[in-house]
Amino acid sequence: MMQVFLLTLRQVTGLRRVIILLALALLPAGVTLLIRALSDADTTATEEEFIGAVVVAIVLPLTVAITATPAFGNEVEDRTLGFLTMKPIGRWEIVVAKLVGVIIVSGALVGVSAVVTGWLVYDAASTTFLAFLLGIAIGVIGYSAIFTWLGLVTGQALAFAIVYVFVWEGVASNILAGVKYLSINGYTLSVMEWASDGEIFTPNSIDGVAALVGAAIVLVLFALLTLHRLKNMDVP
Amino acid sequence: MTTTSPQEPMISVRGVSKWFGNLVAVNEVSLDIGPGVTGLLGPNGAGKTTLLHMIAGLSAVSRGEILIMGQPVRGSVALYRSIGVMTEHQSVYDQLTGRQFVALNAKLQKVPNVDEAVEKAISTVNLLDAQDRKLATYSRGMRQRMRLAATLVHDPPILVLDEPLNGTDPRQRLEFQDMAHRLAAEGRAVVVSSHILEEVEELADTILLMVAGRLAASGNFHAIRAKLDERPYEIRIRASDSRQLAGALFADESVDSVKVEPDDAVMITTRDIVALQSLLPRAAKDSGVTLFSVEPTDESLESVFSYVVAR
Repeated sequence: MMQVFLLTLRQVTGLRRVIILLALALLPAGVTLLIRALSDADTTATEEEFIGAVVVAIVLPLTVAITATPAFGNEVEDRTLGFLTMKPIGRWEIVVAKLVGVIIVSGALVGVSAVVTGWLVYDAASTTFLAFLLGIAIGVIGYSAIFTWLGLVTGQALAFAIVYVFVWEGVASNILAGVKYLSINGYTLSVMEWASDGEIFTPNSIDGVAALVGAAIVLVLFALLTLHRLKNMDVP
Repeated sequence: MTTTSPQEPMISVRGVSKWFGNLVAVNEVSLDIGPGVTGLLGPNGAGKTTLLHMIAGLSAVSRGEILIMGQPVRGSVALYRSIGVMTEHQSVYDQLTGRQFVALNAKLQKVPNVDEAVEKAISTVNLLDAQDRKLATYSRGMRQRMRLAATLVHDPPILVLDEPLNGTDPRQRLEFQDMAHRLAAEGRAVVVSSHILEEVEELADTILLMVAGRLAASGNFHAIRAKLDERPYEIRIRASDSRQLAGALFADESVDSVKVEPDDAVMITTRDIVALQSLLPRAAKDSGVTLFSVEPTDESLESVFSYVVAR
């Protein structure tokens, strides 16, 4: 499993991809500093809204999408998946190794954004800051599971991922009340609110424990779907 | 290396079909493969790669069964210790060096002494000098050879090689031939696909002919060759006096039919191409006719296979 994990790290950490993602990750911090520099008033409320809108709704899902979809997607496109499936290792080992690799790399990239931006807005030693990071971690895990699976089932995984993020996680979750129970964005924000005792306010949040359970279900469900696909597909 | 009992074929394909929607890629193929080099021959699109993918467990069968050493291959991950598969694609992990790539395969195969196995495999394909270069910098032939090293690294008793000679030069082909024979002499089943008849001529002990998804013929090269040589050849000749030449050829028993076309070309069919080769210049000389061109009209491999299938 370690070999597949190390291979996944190599695959998802190409220099150009990492540079682009780091730029994306640091963008919210840069804009936060800009807001602060240009505004005379107390800007904390504005910055919090900005974090919610940009880090959670844009940086988090896009970074994970760009990192997770090639984990299997590149193997299928380059026709190298057979190198892994024609080895005496369980398919579940391949799925777990890939998923862990994706979570670690995308977690590190999103983490840079979350830590730097959160540092600027919250007290670094506060529960609110930790709650913010916990919510981000839940989001990374949930999106990683979905987008890793997506990379195995379609050649246009990144495009589908972007559409999903903006249509389902963005538009639908704001219009349809029930979507918050089936939304990674909803789980992320709800966990932040729950862990910060309401310091990070989230309209339309669900119970924090329910959000954690929801994220766990997404992780297991999409890992199983990935495993099922890998076991039954015709490997090119 | 482990082997099966002499009675049990190492690869057994039983009534296997594979279809993609309405397209039947492999149609009711049954065959057994034992130790030795087996050539899977057929034109492009004959279903060779699809069949090899099913033998390798990469694709599921639509109908039938494939057993490797008595076990169903699909889903039996432990069986992959016994199989080495090289697909036809040139795909490799470009970001790795040749040695890293072979070592990765060795580690995934849980080979006990990785360094020793990697050294041996790379030396078998004569690429020790280039082993520390990234695969992205390799020529096509070098990639093929390094992929072969990765296929051999766990010393499997069954080797399935899809078009392994693609991109290799004549010297490399001879080296591959020697290697394949050496591996087969050690009791391995080596399956090699090709769409070029001459490629498998010196290589394979047994040839399986596939055409349009079906197994058209099987046997040793000479049996297949004899079958192919029985087919009528059609030859188109341009000469200074077509009617004079047609008359001179008509009487010979090696010629089945002679026809002068509207464009003045002479069309001959024969089942004895060797006899015709000596008859034609002699007949032209005796009748005072100058030959401008002599060309077979159906020399493509597809036409040869179509004839075998139609029989």
